Amino acid sequence: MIEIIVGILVLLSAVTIFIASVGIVRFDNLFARMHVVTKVSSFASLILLVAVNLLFLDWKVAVISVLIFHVLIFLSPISTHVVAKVSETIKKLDEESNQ
Amino acid sequence: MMFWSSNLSFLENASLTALAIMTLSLLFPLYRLFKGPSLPDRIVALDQIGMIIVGIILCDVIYSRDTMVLDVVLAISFLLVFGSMIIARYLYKKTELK
Repeated sequence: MIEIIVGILVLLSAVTIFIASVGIVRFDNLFARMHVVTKVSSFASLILLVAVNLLFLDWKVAVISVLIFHVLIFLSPISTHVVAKVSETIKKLDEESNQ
Repeated sequence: MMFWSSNLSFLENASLTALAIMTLSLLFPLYRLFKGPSLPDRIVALDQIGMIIVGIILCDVIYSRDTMVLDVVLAISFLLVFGSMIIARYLYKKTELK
């Protein structure tokens, strides 16, 4: 029974990652692409970590997956924010050099 | 559903199918990486490639039931975050010097 739930969660996360990858090609804006990478892919890896914990039910696995989840949820938006700020600064510097 | 074989369990079939879907979805960020109009687009595409690699390794953990590979996932997620941050800082310094 638990294996069927884990399999359904794995398939759901694979479809979510596929949707995120399609969004990276289809969106025309840089910030829309960032939103896809930060939210949808983090959601997919969250589903996969829940599936791993349901399969093994071990406290070592739980500790490592809580660490991975915190890195992906709290640190990945910071790096995306840095990229957004740098892209704005580059755009501004280009406009100033053109004038 | 062409990957489903009857002598494997449902979970193994599902994780193999998920591996196939994730490997297929690796093509879209590669397209954006080669054709992206600006450099931040390419950084974002690299970020997405790293996320897909994390998903692939987690699928392999479920398929082979080997929990030692989870440490690799932790290392890759740290590398993903700080790597894109360092590339962005380098880009900023490069444009400031100009």
